[in-house]
Amino acid sequence: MTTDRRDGAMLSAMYQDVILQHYRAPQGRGVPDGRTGEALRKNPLCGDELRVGVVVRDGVIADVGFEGRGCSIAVASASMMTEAVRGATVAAARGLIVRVDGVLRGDAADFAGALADLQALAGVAAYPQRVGCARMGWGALGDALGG
Amino acid sequence: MSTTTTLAPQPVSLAPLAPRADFPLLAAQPSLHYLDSAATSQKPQAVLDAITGFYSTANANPHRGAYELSAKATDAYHDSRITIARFLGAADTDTLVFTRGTTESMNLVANAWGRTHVQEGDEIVITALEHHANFVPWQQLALAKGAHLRIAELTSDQRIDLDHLESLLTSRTRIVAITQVSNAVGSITPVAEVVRMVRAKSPAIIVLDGAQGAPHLPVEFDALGIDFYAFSGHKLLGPMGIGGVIGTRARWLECEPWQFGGDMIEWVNDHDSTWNTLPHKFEAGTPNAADAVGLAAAVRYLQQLDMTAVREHEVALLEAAHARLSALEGLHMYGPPASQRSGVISFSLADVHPHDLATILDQHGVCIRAGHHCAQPLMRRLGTNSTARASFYVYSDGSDVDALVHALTEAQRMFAHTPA
Repeated sequence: MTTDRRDGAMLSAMYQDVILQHYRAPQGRGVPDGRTGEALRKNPLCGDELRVGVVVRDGVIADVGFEGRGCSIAVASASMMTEAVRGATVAAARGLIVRVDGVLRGDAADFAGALADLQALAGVAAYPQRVGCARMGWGALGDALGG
Repeated sequence: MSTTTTLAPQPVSLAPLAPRADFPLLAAQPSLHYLDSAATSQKPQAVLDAITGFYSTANANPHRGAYELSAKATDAYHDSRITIARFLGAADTDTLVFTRGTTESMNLVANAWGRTHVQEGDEIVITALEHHANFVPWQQLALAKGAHLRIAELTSDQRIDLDHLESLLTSRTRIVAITQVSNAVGSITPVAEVVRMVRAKSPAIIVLDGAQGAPHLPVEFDALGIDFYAFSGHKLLGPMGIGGVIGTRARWLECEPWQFGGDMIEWVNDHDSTWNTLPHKFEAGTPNAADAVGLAAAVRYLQQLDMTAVREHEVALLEAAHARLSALEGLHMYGPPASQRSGVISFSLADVHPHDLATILDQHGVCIRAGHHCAQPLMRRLGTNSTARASFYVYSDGSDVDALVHALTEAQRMFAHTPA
Protein backbone atom coordinates (compact mmCIF):
# COMPACT_ATOMS: atom_id res chain seq x y z
CA MET A 1 0.00 0.00 0.00
CA THR A 2 1.21 3.45 -0.73
CA THR A 3 1.39 6.51 1.43
CA ASP A 4 -1.25 8.45 -0.46
CA ARG A 5 -4.07 6.19 0.72
CA ARG A 6 -3.80 7.10 4.35
CA ASP A 7 -2.50 9.88 6.48
CA GLY A 8 -0.75 10.03 9.81
CA ALA A 9 -4.04 10.87 11.53
CA MET A 10 -5.46 7.48 10.58
CA LEU A 11 -2.39 5.74 11.94
CA SER A 12 -2.71 7.54 15.28
CA ALA A 13 -6.43 6.74 15.23
CA MET A 14 -5.50 3.07 15.25
CA TYR A 15 -2.56 3.28 17.61
CA GLN A 16 -4.37 5.34 20.25
CA ASP A 17 -2.94 5.56 23.74
CA VAL A 18 -5.69 3.32 25.03
CA ILE A 19 -4.62 0.58 22.57
CA LEU A 20 -0.97 0.90 23.55
CA GLN A 21 -1.89 0.88 27.24
CA HIS A 22 -3.82 -2.36 26.88
CA TYR A 23 -0.95 -3.82 24.83
CA ARG A 24 1.66 -3.01 27.47
CA ALA A 25 -0.44 -4.08 30.43
CA PRO A 26 -3.11 -6.44 29.15
CA GLN A 27 -6.07 -7.23 31.35
CA GLY A 28 -7.37 -10.76 31.70
CA ARG A 29 -4.01 -12.42 31.04
CA GLY A 30 -4.20 -16.18 31.49
CA VAL A 31 -6.90 -18.69 30.81
CA PRO A 32 -8.91 -19.08 34.06
CA ASP A 33 -8.98 -22.29 36.08
CA GLY A 34 -12.28 -24.12 36.23
CA ARG A 35 -13.21 -22.81 32.79
CA THR A 36 -16.42 -24.05 31.25
CA GLY A 37 -15.32 -23.27 27.72
CA GLU A 38 -12.23 -22.33 25.76
CA ALA A 39 -11.26 -21.77 22.15
CA LEU A 40 -8.17 -21.06 20.09
CA ARG A 41 -8.08 -18.62 17.18
CA LYS A 42 -5.17 -18.43 14.78
CA ASN A 43 -4.27 -15.77 12.26
CA PRO A 44 -2.75 -17.73 9.37
CA LEU A 45 -1.38 -14.49 7.85
CA CYS A 46 1.10 -13.90 10.63
CA GLY A 47 1.06 -17.10 12.67
CA ASP A 48 -0.32 -15.44 15.80
CA GLU A 49 -2.56 -17.41 18.16
CA LEU A 50 -4.87 -16.43 21.01
CA ARG A 51 -6.67 -18.79 23.38
CA VAL A 52 -9.67 -17.55 25.34
CA GLY A 53 -11.18 -19.35 28.32
CA VAL A 54 -14.48 -18.55 30.08
CA VAL A 55 -16.13 -19.56 33.32
CA VAL A 56 -19.90 -19.35 32.86
CA ARG A 57 -22.19 -19.72 35.87
CA ASP A 58 -25.97 -19.34 35.63
CA GLY A 59 -25.74 -17.62 32.29
CA VAL A 60 -23.18 -15.08 33.51
CA ILE A 61 -19.50 -14.85 32.55
CA ALA A 62 -17.96 -15.13 36.01
CA ASP A 63 -14.40 -15.07 34.65
CA VAL A 64 -12.66 -14.73 31.32
CA GLY A 65 -9.02 -14.57 30.21
CA PHE A 66 -6.71 -15.10 27.28
CA GLU A 67 -3.21 -16.28 26.50
CA GLY A 68 -1.01 -16.39 23.43
CA ARG A 69 1.06 -14.15 21.22
CA GLY A 70 -0.20 -11.33 19.12
CA CYS A 71 0.44 -7.85 17.81
CA SER A 72 -0.65 -4.75 19.69
CA ILE A 73 -4.04 -4.71 18.01
CA ALA A 74 -4.75 -8.38 18.76
CA VAL A 75 -3.61 -8.17 22.38
CA ALA A 76 -5.27 -4.82 23.12
CA SER A 77 -8.53 -5.94 21.59
CA ALA A 78 -8.50 -9.20 23.59
CA SER A 79 -7.62 -7.29 26.75
CA MET A 80 -10.56 -4.90 26.23
CA MET A 81 -12.77 -7.86 25.50
CA THR A 82 -12.08 -9.44 28.89
CA GLU A 83 -12.85 -6.16 30.66
CA ALA A 84 -16.00 -5.66 28.68
CA VAL A 85 -17.58 -9.09 29.19
CA ARG A 86 -16.47 -10.08 32.68
CA GLY A 87 -19.68 -10.14 34.76
CA ALA A 88 -21.88 -9.80 31.69
CA THR A 89 -24.57 -12.29 30.73
CA VAL A 90 -23.75 -14.63 27.88
CA ALA A 91 -26.53 -13.00 25.87
CA ALA A 92 -25.07 -9.53 26.41
CA ALA A 93 -21.59 -10.78 25.47
CA ARG A 94 -22.92 -12.25 22.25
CA GLY A 95 -24.57 -8.94 21.46
CA LEU A 96 -21.30 -7.14 22.09
CA ILE A 97 -19.37 -9.51 19.79
CA VAL A 98 -21.76 -8.58 16.97
CA ARG A 99 -21.45 -4.87 17.72
CA VAL A 100 -17.65 -4.96 17.80
CA ASP A 101 -17.67 -6.84 14.53
CA GLY A 102 -19.78 -4.06 13.05
CA VAL A 103 -17.40 -1.40 14.35
CA LEU A 104 -14.45 -3.23 12.76
CA ARG A 105 -16.38 -3.22 9.48
CA GLY A 106 -16.77 0.54 9.75
CA ASP A 107 -20.08 1.05 11.62
CA ALA A 108 -20.09 4.10 13.86
CA ALA A 109 -18.97 3.34 17.38
CA ASP A 110 -20.85 4.75 20.33
CA PHE A 111 -19.60 2.99 23.42
CA ALA A 112 -19.94 4.71 26.78
CA GLY A 113 -19.19 4.12 30.42
CA ALA A 114 -17.38 0.90 31.20
CA LEU A 115 -17.24 0.06 27.47
CA ALA A 116 -15.67 3.37 26.42
CA ASP A 117 -12.29 1.81 25.64
CA LEU A 118 -13.91 -0.17 22.82
CA GLN A 119 -14.34 3.11 20.96
CA ALA A 120 -10.64 2.84 20.13
CA LEU A 121 -11.26 -0.20 17.93
CA ALA A 122 -13.00 2.03 15.39
CA GLY A 123 -9.57 3.19 14.21
CA VAL A 124 -8.75 -0.33 13.03
CA ALA A 125 -11.52 -0.30 10.42
CA ALA A 126 -9.33 1.83 8.13
CA TYR A 127 -6.77 -1.00 7.98
CA PRO A 128 -8.47 -4.07 6.47
CA GLN A 129 -5.30 -6.17 6.89
CA ARG A 130 -5.48 -5.54 10.64
CA VAL A 131 -9.17 -6.18 11.23
CA GLY A 132 -8.41 -9.91 11.56
CA CYS A 133 -5.98 -9.08 14.39
CA ALA A 134 -8.66 -7.17 16.31
CA ARG A 135 -11.20 -9.95 15.75
CA MET A 136 -9.11 -12.80 17.16
CA GLY A 137 -10.01 -12.40 20.84
CA TRP A 138 -13.68 -11.70 20.16
CA GLY A 139 -13.94 -14.62 17.75
CA ALA A 140 -12.35 -16.94 20.29
CA LEU A 141 -14.75 -15.67 22.96
CA GLY A 142 -17.69 -16.49 20.68
CA ASP A 143 -16.30 -19.97 20.10
CA ALA A 144 -15.61 -20.48 23.81
CA LEU A 145 -19.21 -19.57 24.65
CA GLY A 146 -20.29 -22.27 22.21
CA GLY A 147 -23.45 -22.72 20.14
CA MET B 1 12.06 5.01 27.94
CA SER B 2 13.39 7.63 25.57
CA THR B 3 16.10 7.19 23.00
CA THR B 4 18.16 10.22 22.15
CA THR B 5 20.08 10.18 18.94
CA THR B 6 22.75 12.83 19.08
CA LEU B 7 24.67 11.93 15.95
CA ALA B 8 22.71 12.13 12.73
CA PRO B 9 23.70 8.97 10.87
CA GLN B 10 25.32 9.32 7.47
CA PRO B 11 22.90 8.53 4.65
CA VAL B 12 23.81 5.41 2.73
CA SER B 13 25.13 6.48 -0.68
CA LEU B 14 24.51 3.51 -2.90
CA ALA B 15 23.04 3.91 -6.36
CA PRO B 16 20.60 1.33 -7.68
CA LEU B 17 22.07 -1.21 -10.11
CA ALA B 18 19.06 -0.88 -12.40
CA PRO B 19 17.50 2.56 -12.91
CA ARG B 20 14.14 3.03 -11.19
CA ALA B 21 13.00 4.67 -14.41
CA ASP B 22 13.03 1.21 -16.05
CA PHE B 23 10.31 0.06 -13.65
CA PRO B 24 6.98 1.78 -14.30
CA LEU B 25 5.59 1.17 -10.81
CA LEU B 26 8.69 2.58 -9.11
CA ALA B 27 8.92 5.48 -11.53
CA ALA B 28 5.32 6.43 -10.83
CA GLN B 29 5.81 6.30 -7.05
CA PRO B 30 9.15 7.97 -6.34
CA SER B 31 8.59 8.01 -2.57
CA LEU B 32 7.88 4.27 -2.39
CA HIS B 33 10.54 2.09 -0.79
CA TYR B 34 9.75 -1.40 -1.99
CA LEU B 35 11.59 -3.80 0.30
CA ASP B 36 9.60 -6.95 -0.39
CA SER B 37 11.33 -8.29 -3.49
CA ALA B 38 11.76 -11.70 -1.89
CA ALA B 39 7.97 -11.98 -2.12
CA THR B 40 7.84 -10.71 -5.68
CA SER B 41 10.01 -8.38 -7.72
CA GLN B 42 8.88 -5.30 -9.60
CA LYS B 43 8.77 -5.61 -13.41
CA PRO B 44 10.77 -3.57 -15.92
CA GLN B 45 9.02 -2.00 -18.91
CA ALA B 46 10.90 -4.43 -21.18
CA VAL B 47 8.97 -7.34 -19.63
CA LEU B 48 5.61 -5.63 -19.95
CA ASP B 49 6.44 -4.74 -23.56
CA ALA B 50 7.39 -8.34 -24.36
CA ILE B 51 4.07 -9.66 -23.02
CA THR B 52 2.07 -7.02 -24.87
CA GLY B 53 4.19 -7.68 -27.95
CA PHE B 54 3.34 -11.37 -27.90
CA TYR B 55 -0.38 -10.74 -27.63
CA SER B 56 -0.37 -7.99 -30.23
CA THR B 57 1.82 -9.64 -32.87
CA ALA B 58 2.13 -13.40 -32.26
CA ASN B 59 -0.94 -14.56 -30.33
CA ALA B 60 -2.10 -18.01 -31.39
CA ASN B 61 -2.09 -21.38 -29.68
CA PRO B 62 1.44 -22.81 -29.88
CA HIS B 63 1.94 -26.32 -31.32
CA ARG B 64 -1.58 -26.32 -32.82
CA GLY B 65 -2.31 -24.51 -36.05
CA ALA B 66 -0.74 -25.22 -39.41
CA TYR B 67 -0.71 -21.52 -40.15
CA GLU B 68 2.01 -18.95 -39.90
CA LEU B 69 0.72 -17.13 -36.83
CA SER B 70 0.65 -20.34 -34.79
CA ALA B 71 4.17 -21.10 -35.97
CA LYS B 72 5.21 -17.63 -34.80
CA ALA B 73 3.70 -18.27 -31.35
CA THR B 74 5.41 -21.67 -31.22
CA ASP B 75 8.75 -20.07 -32.09
CA ALA B 76 8.35 -17.35 -29.47
CA TYR B 77 7.61 -19.97 -26.81
CA HIS B 78 10.46 -22.20 -27.96
CA ASP B 79 12.97 -19.34 -28.08
CA SER B 80 11.98 -18.27 -24.57
CA ARG B 81 12.73 -21.75 -23.29
CA ILE B 82 16.20 -21.61 -24.84
CA THR B 83 16.94 -18.16 -23.40
CA ILE B 84 15.83 -19.10 -19.89
CA ALA B 85 17.50 -22.54 -19.84
CA ARG B 86 20.81 -21.03 -20.96
CA PHE B 87 20.53 -18.25 -18.37
CA LEU B 88 20.34 -20.98 -15.71
CA GLY B 89 23.23 -22.90 -17.25
CA ALA B 90 21.39 -25.82 -18.85
CA ALA B 91 22.84 -26.67 -22.27
CA ASP B 92 20.14 -29.27 -22.99
CA THR B 93 17.39 -26.67 -23.20
CA ASP B 94 14.52 -29.16 -23.63
CA THR B 95 15.14 -30.29 -20.06
CA LEU B 96 13.50 -27.06 -18.88
CA VAL B 97 9.82 -27.73 -18.23
CA PHE B 98 7.66 -24.66 -17.72
CA THR B 99 5.35 -24.55 -14.70
CA ARG B 100 3.44 -21.85 -12.86
CA GLY B 101 6.39 -21.45 -10.50
CA THR B 102 8.44 -23.16 -7.82
CA THR B 103 5.44 -24.53 -5.95
CA GLU B 104 4.12 -26.30 -9.03
CA SER B 105 7.64 -27.44 -9.91
CA MET B 106 8.04 -29.15 -6.53
CA ASN B 107 4.64 -30.78 -6.83
CA LEU B 108 5.63 -31.95 -10.31
CA VAL B 109 8.82 -33.65 -9.09
CA ALA B 110 7.07 -35.10 -6.02
CA ASN B 111 4.39 -36.62 -8.26
CA ALA B 112 6.20 -37.41 -11.49
CA TRP B 113 9.33 -38.89 -9.90
CA GLY B 114 8.43 -39.32 -6.22
CA ARG B 115 5.26 -41.36 -6.63
CA THR B 116 7.04 -44.06 -8.60
CA HIS B 117 10.40 -44.06 -6.84
CA VAL B 118 9.64 -43.64 -3.14
CA GLN B 119 8.46 -46.78 -1.34
CA GLU B 120 7.40 -47.60 2.18
CA GLY B 121 10.31 -47.26 4.59
CA ASP B 122 12.31 -45.01 2.27
CA GLU B 123 13.58 -41.67 3.51
CA ILE B 124 13.18 -38.11 2.27
CA VAL B 125 15.53 -35.46 3.63
CA ILE B 126 14.63 -31.78 3.79
CA THR B 127 15.78 -28.98 6.10
CA ALA B 128 14.22 -26.75 8.75
CA LEU B 129 14.94 -23.78 6.49
CA GLU B 130 12.48 -24.74 3.77
CA HIS B 131 9.64 -22.65 2.40
CA HIS B 132 6.32 -24.50 2.63
CA ALA B 133 6.57 -25.08 -1.14
CA ASN B 134 9.62 -27.28 -0.58
CA PHE B 135 8.29 -28.79 2.62
CA VAL B 136 4.65 -29.78 2.29
CA PRO B 137 4.95 -31.71 -1.04
CA TRP B 138 7.61 -33.97 0.55
CA GLN B 139 5.76 -34.25 3.85
CA GLN B 140 2.65 -35.36 1.96
CA LEU B 141 4.58 -37.72 -0.31
CA ALA B 142 6.11 -39.35 2.77
CA LEU B 143 2.68 -39.70 4.37
CA ALA B 144 1.18 -41.18 1.21
CA LYS B 145 4.00 -43.69 0.75
CA GLY B 146 4.75 -44.57 4.36
CA ALA B 147 8.21 -43.07 3.93
CA HIS B 148 10.10 -41.20 6.65
CA LEU B 149 10.61 -37.45 6.46
CA ARG B 150 13.94 -36.39 7.96
CA ILE B 151 14.56 -32.73 8.75
CA ALA B 152 18.09 -31.35 8.94
CA GLU B 153 18.40 -28.82 11.74
CA LEU B 154 20.12 -25.43 11.67
CA THR B 155 23.10 -23.68 13.21
CA SER B 156 22.51 -20.82 15.64
CA ASP B 157 22.73 -18.33 12.75
CA GLN B 158 20.16 -20.24 10.66
CA ARG B 159 22.41 -22.00 8.21
CA ILE B 160 21.86 -25.67 7.45
CA ASP B 161 23.77 -27.78 9.97
CA LEU B 162 25.79 -29.80 7.47
CA ASP B 163 26.94 -32.34 10.05
CA HIS B 164 23.36 -33.05 10.98
CA LEU B 165 22.36 -33.21 7.33
CA GLU B 166 25.14 -35.69 6.66
CA SER B 167 24.05 -37.85 9.60
CA LEU B 168 20.57 -38.18 8.06
CA LEU B 169 21.81 -39.60 4.73
CA THR B 170 21.48 -43.37 4.34
CA SER B 171 21.13 -45.97 1.63
CA ARG B 172 17.35 -45.55 2.02
CA THR B 173 17.40 -41.81 1.28
CA ARG B 174 15.54 -41.38 -2.02
CA ILE B 175 15.20 -37.59 -2.20
CA VAL B 176 17.13 -34.68 -0.74
CA ALA B 177 15.14 -31.48 -1.29
CA ILE B 178 16.89 -28.37 -0.15
CA THR B 179 16.71 -24.64 -0.66
CA GLN B 180 19.49 -22.79 -2.47
CA VAL B 181 18.72 -19.59 -0.55
CA SER B 182 16.36 -19.22 2.42
CA ASN B 183 13.45 -16.91 1.65
CA ALA B 184 12.95 -16.13 5.34
CA VAL B 185 16.47 -15.36 6.56
CA GLY B 186 18.58 -15.32 3.38
CA SER B 187 21.06 -18.11 4.24
CA ILE B 188 22.88 -19.41 1.15
CA THR B 189 23.32 -23.18 0.99
CA PRO B 190 26.82 -24.41 0.11
CA VAL B 191 25.38 -26.56 -2.68
CA ALA B 192 28.65 -28.15 -3.84
CA GLU B 193 29.33 -29.45 -0.34
CA VAL B 194 25.81 -30.80 0.02
CA VAL B 195 26.05 -32.54 -3.36
CA ARG B 196 29.35 -34.21 -2.40
CA MET B 197 27.82 -35.39 0.85
CA VAL B 198 24.67 -36.77 -0.71
CA ARG B 199 26.52 -38.56 -3.52
CA ALA B 200 28.93 -40.16 -1.03
CA LYS B 201 26.26 -41.35 1.41
CA SER B 202 23.11 -42.17 -0.50
CA PRO B 203 21.52 -42.94 -3.87
CA ALA B 204 19.14 -39.97 -3.44
CA ILE B 205 18.20 -37.49 -6.10
CA ILE B 206 18.88 -33.85 -5.23
CA VAL B 207 16.14 -31.28 -5.76
CA LEU B 208 17.19 -27.67 -5.33
CA ASP B 209 14.66 -24.93 -4.58
CA GLY B 210 15.97 -22.00 -6.59
CA ALA B 211 13.06 -19.63 -5.96
CA GLN B 212 15.39 -17.24 -4.11
CA GLY B 213 18.59 -18.46 -5.73
CA ALA B 214 17.91 -17.82 -9.41
CA PRO B 215 17.06 -14.11 -8.92
CA HIS B 216 20.12 -13.34 -6.82
CA LEU B 217 23.02 -15.63 -7.72
CA PRO B 218 24.64 -16.78 -10.96
CA VAL B 219 23.32 -20.32 -11.58
CA GLU B 220 25.01 -23.03 -13.68
CA PHE B 221 22.68 -26.02 -13.62
CA ASP B 222 25.07 -28.27 -15.53
CA ALA B 223 27.87 -27.55 -13.06
CA LEU B 224 25.79 -28.04 -9.90
CA GLY B 225 25.61 -31.82 -10.17
CA ILE B 226 22.00 -31.90 -8.97
CA ASP B 227 18.96 -33.65 -10.45
CA PHE B 228 16.24 -30.99 -10.45
CA TYR B 229 16.27 -27.20 -10.12
CA ALA B 230 13.00 -25.35 -9.51
CA PHE B 231 12.46 -21.60 -9.87
CA SER B 232 9.83 -18.87 -10.19
CA GLY B 233 9.79 -16.15 -12.83
CA HIS B 234 8.05 -13.43 -10.83
CA LYS B 235 10.89 -13.16 -8.33
CA LEU B 236 13.42 -12.45 -11.08
CA LEU B 237 11.67 -9.51 -12.77
CA GLY B 238 9.33 -11.76 -14.78
CA PRO B 239 5.55 -12.05 -14.70
CA MET B 240 3.57 -14.02 -12.13
CA GLY B 241 2.36 -17.46 -13.17
CA ILE B 242 5.46 -18.69 -14.99
CA GLY B 243 8.48 -20.57 -13.72
CA GLY B 244 9.95 -23.95 -14.29
CA VAL B 245 11.98 -26.94 -13.35
CA ILE B 246 15.17 -28.10 -15.02
CA GLY B 247 16.09 -31.76 -14.69
CA THR B 248 18.78 -33.98 -16.06
CA ARG B 249 17.55 -35.93 -19.08
CA ALA B 250 18.22 -39.18 -17.22
CA ARG B 251 15.88 -38.21 -14.38
CA TRP B 252 13.19 -36.92 -16.71
CA LEU B 253 13.19 -40.32 -18.45
CA GLU B 254 12.37 -41.90 -15.09
CA CYS B 255 9.35 -39.61 -14.61
CA GLU B 256 5.74 -40.47 -15.31
CA PRO B 257 3.38 -37.76 -16.55
CA TRP B 258 1.50 -36.10 -13.70
CA GLN B 259 -1.06 -34.05 -15.60
CA PHE B 260 -2.89 -35.35 -18.65
CA GLY B 261 -4.49 -33.66 -21.62
CA GLY B 262 -3.56 -31.86 -24.79
CA ASP B 263 0.05 -31.31 -25.90
CA MET B 264 1.48 -33.95 -23.55
CA ILE B 265 0.19 -36.88 -25.59
CA GLU B 266 1.62 -38.51 -28.69
CA TRP B 267 -1.39 -40.65 -29.59
CA VAL B 268 -4.71 -41.25 -27.81
CA ASN B 269 -6.40 -44.62 -28.31
CA ASP B 270 -9.78 -45.49 -26.82
CA HIS B 271 -8.31 -47.29 -23.85
CA ASP B 272 -4.71 -46.11 -23.58
CA SER B 273 -2.40 -43.35 -24.74
CA THR B 274 1.24 -42.72 -25.51
CA TRP B 275 3.19 -39.68 -24.46
CA ASN B 276 4.94 -36.79 -26.16
CA THR B 277 8.66 -36.24 -25.61
CA LEU B 278 10.46 -33.78 -23.34
CA PRO B 279 9.56 -31.09 -22.44
CA HIS B 280 5.96 -31.40 -23.70
CA LYS B 281 5.27 -34.64 -21.82
CA PHE B 282 5.14 -32.56 -18.63
CA GLU B 283 3.33 -29.52 -20.02
CA ALA B 284 -0.31 -30.54 -20.39
CA GLY B 285 -2.71 -28.04 -21.94
CA THR B 286 -2.20 -24.70 -23.65
CA PRO B 287 1.15 -23.36 -22.44
CA ASN B 288 1.58 -19.95 -20.83
CA ALA B 289 3.48 -18.71 -23.87
CA ALA B 290 3.02 -14.97 -23.28
CA ASP B 291 4.48 -15.12 -19.79
CA ALA B 292 7.33 -17.34 -20.99
CA VAL B 293 8.12 -14.58 -23.49
CA GLY B 294 7.90 -12.05 -20.64
CA LEU B 295 10.23 -14.14 -18.51
CA ALA B 296 12.74 -14.40 -21.34
CA ALA B 297 12.74 -10.59 -21.52
CA ALA B 298 13.37 -10.45 -17.77
CA VAL B 299 16.27 -12.85 -18.17
CA ARG B 300 17.80 -10.73 -20.93
CA TYR B 301 17.44 -7.69 -18.69
CA LEU B 302 19.29 -9.50 -15.89
CA GLN B 303 21.95 -10.72 -18.30
CA GLN B 304 22.63 -7.12 -19.29
CA LEU B 305 23.03 -6.19 -15.64
CA ASP B 306 25.20 -9.29 -15.13
CA MET B 307 24.37 -11.67 -12.29
CA THR B 308 27.75 -11.21 -10.64
CA ALA B 309 27.03 -7.48 -10.42
CA VAL B 310 23.55 -8.26 -9.05
CA ARG B 311 25.12 -10.28 -6.26
CA GLU B 312 27.73 -7.59 -5.52
CA HIS B 313 25.04 -4.91 -5.39
CA GLU B 314 23.07 -6.93 -2.83
CA VAL B 315 26.10 -7.60 -0.66
CA ALA B 316 26.84 -3.85 -0.59
CA LEU B 317 23.23 -3.10 0.41
CA LEU B 318 23.27 -5.86 3.02
CA GLU B 319 26.45 -4.57 4.60
CA ALA B 320 25.19 -0.98 4.68
CA ALA B 321 21.84 -2.05 6.12
CA HIS B 322 23.48 -4.32 8.64
CA ALA B 323 25.68 -1.50 9.93
CA ARG B 324 22.76 0.91 10.23
CA LEU B 325 20.36 -1.58 11.79
CA SER B 326 22.93 -2.83 14.31
CA ALA B 327 22.93 0.67 15.81
CA LEU B 328 19.22 0.43 16.66
CA GLU B 329 18.57 -0.52 20.25
CA GLY B 330 16.50 -3.67 20.68
CA LEU B 331 16.82 -4.74 17.06
CA HIS B 332 17.72 -8.38 16.52
CA MET B 333 18.74 -9.69 13.10
CA TYR B 334 18.44 -13.35 12.16
CA GLY B 335 20.65 -15.21 9.70
CA PRO B 336 24.33 -15.46 8.77
CA PRO B 337 26.78 -12.68 7.76
CA ALA B 338 26.43 -10.96 4.36
CA SER B 339 28.96 -13.24 2.66
CA GLN B 340 26.68 -16.24 3.30
CA ARG B 341 23.40 -14.46 2.85
CA SER B 342 21.25 -13.21 0.01
CA GLY B 343 19.57 -9.78 -0.04
CA VAL B 344 17.21 -10.52 2.82
CA ILE B 345 17.24 -9.10 6.34
CA SER B 346 14.89 -10.78 8.78
CA PHE B 347 14.61 -9.06 12.14
CA SER B 348 12.60 -8.31 15.21
CA LEU B 349 12.37 -5.11 17.20
CA ALA B 350 11.88 -5.34 20.95
CA ASP B 351 8.34 -4.46 22.07
CA VAL B 352 7.05 -3.96 18.53
CA HIS B 353 5.29 -6.91 16.92
CA PRO B 354 6.25 -7.42 13.23
CA HIS B 355 2.65 -6.88 12.17
CA ASP B 356 2.62 -3.48 13.88
CA LEU B 357 5.97 -2.69 12.31
CA ALA B 358 4.68 -3.43 8.82
CA THR B 359 1.69 -1.13 9.29
CA ILE B 360 3.77 1.73 10.70
CA LEU B 361 6.50 1.34 8.05
CA ASP B 362 3.84 1.31 5.34
CA GLN B 363 2.80 4.76 6.59
CA HIS B 364 6.34 5.89 5.75
CA GLY B 365 6.17 4.38 2.29
CA VAL B 366 8.34 1.41 3.29
CA CYS B 367 6.96 -1.97 2.19
CA ILE B 368 8.27 -4.88 4.25
CA ARG B 369 6.87 -8.32 4.90
CA ALA B 370 5.73 -9.34 8.38
CA GLY B 371 4.73 -12.87 9.14
CA HIS B 372 5.97 -16.42 9.02
CA HIS B 373 7.21 -16.11 5.42
CA CYS B 374 5.66 -19.49 4.56
CA ALA B 375 8.32 -21.05 6.79
CA GLN B 376 6.49 -22.08 9.95
CA PRO B 377 8.92 -24.92 10.75
CA LEU B 378 11.72 -22.30 10.79
CA MET B 379 9.67 -19.87 12.92
CA ARG B 380 9.12 -22.61 15.51
CA ARG B 381 12.87 -23.10 15.73
CA LEU B 382 13.41 -19.36 16.10
CA GLY B 383 10.90 -19.47 18.96
CA THR B 384 8.63 -16.91 17.36
CA ASN B 385 5.45 -16.71 15.29
CA SER B 386 6.73 -14.14 12.88
CA THR B 387 9.55 -11.83 11.90
CA ALA B 388 9.81 -8.62 9.92
CA ARG B 389 11.68 -8.99 6.63
CA ALA B 390 13.22 -6.41 4.33
CA SER B 391 14.54 -7.68 1.00
CA PHE B 392 16.52 -5.97 -1.75
CA TYR B 393 16.86 -6.27 -5.47
CA VAL B 394 18.50 -4.58 -8.43
CA TYR B 395 16.46 -1.35 -8.14
CA SER B 396 17.09 -0.99 -4.38
CA ASP B 397 19.45 1.73 -3.27
CA GLY B 398 20.87 3.53 -0.24
CA SER B 399 17.75 5.67 0.15
CA ASP B 400 15.73 2.50 0.75
CA VAL B 401 18.04 1.60 3.63
CA ASP B 402 17.79 5.15 5.02
CA ALA B 403 13.98 5.09 4.79
CA LEU B 404 13.86 1.70 6.52
CA VAL B 405 16.02 2.86 9.40
CA HIS B 406 14.12 6.13 9.74
CA ALA B 407 10.73 4.37 9.80
CA LEU B 408 12.00 1.86 12.36
CA THR B 409 13.08 4.63 14.71
CA GLU B 410 9.64 6.20 14.28
CA ALA B 411 8.00 2.89 15.19
CA GLN B 412 10.25 2.63 18.22
CA ARG B 413 9.37 6.15 19.25
CA MET B 414 5.68 5.43 18.91
CA PHE B 415 5.80 2.29 21.01
CA ALA B 416 8.24 3.71 23.56
CA HIS B 417 5.98 6.66 24.28
CA THR B 418 4.32 5.87 27.57
CA PRO B 419 0.71 7.01 27.65
CA ALA B 420 -0.32 9.11 30.61
